[in-house]
Amino acid sequence: MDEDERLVRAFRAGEASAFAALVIKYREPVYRFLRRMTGNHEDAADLTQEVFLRAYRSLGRFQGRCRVKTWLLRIATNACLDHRARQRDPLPLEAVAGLASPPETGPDARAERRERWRLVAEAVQALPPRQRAAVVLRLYGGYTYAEIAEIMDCSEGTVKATMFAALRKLRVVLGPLVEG
Amino acid sequence: MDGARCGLYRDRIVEAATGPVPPEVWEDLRGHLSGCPRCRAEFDAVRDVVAWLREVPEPPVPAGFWEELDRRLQRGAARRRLLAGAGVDWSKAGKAAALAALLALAALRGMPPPDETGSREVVSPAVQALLPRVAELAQAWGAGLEGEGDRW
Ligand SMILES: [Zn+2]
Repeated sequence: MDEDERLVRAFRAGEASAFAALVIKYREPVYRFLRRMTGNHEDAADLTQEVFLRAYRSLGRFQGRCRVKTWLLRIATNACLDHRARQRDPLPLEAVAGLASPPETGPDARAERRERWRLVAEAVQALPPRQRAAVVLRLYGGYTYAEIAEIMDCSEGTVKATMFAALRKLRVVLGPLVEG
Repeated sequence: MDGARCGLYRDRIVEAATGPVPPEVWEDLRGHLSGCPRCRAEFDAVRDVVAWLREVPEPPVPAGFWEELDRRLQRGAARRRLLAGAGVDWSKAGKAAALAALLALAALRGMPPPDETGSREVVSPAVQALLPRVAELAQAWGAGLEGEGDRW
């Protein structure tokens, strides 16, 4: 039995601190995922809170079929889908191209690079939630396709197809902006 | 360049463009790419996008956010009456984990444990027994975010 299983068992046995230990252990990967998913700290903070409150409510029913971290990231992914659904006007990806003129080739290379980062982050934000989740988990979280499949509750093949669609879309939108 | 074979290589292109793949997978893909300009172009395009995305640095966690999260969880939990009966004192649990980590680290290094005065009220033996990896955790905390490396 690994540490997380022991914590889950202890929580069920009434050791409330065990849940807090899980929060301390996993708050950072959960927050970092949500920060990349939402593109801003405020939404990421609200969703991190939401994820752990949802987890608290359902930890008693946690089956242990996947790891606790995977389970928390699954809750986080679903929370993002709900969050996105609440937003009135999701930004269409095509709109990103209209956000700024192509990076200037002026002397200020630092500003240029920051502008490129901003455009790339905006384009990621504009992806449909599941494509965004696949991109964020693989490229920023370093999770394997098998792990992402578990988090997203689908097959590895589906994750790769989702990833491919996302990267292709990003290439079309960002190509002219990044390459100038 | 038959379409069916190219279709089979799409997953490989995604895998190889987004992370390391086993040598035999890479050799197989490279063999196909050298004879298929369409897949070669696809691979180069995907790899470029991945490089652009990876270039965007990790946003920093604002100072004091973890403490704020503790407070928010406590408030949120109280508001929803989730903790009726057995309350989780988040700050206390944090202290408990930190203290347990310290004790374990001391034991690991063969040092006498730090003064336990007052610790028993926050560190129950149950919690201490629950954290066998605490020394590792303590090191990660000591190293700040560096302990997490590239992986969350
Ligand atoms: Zn091909």
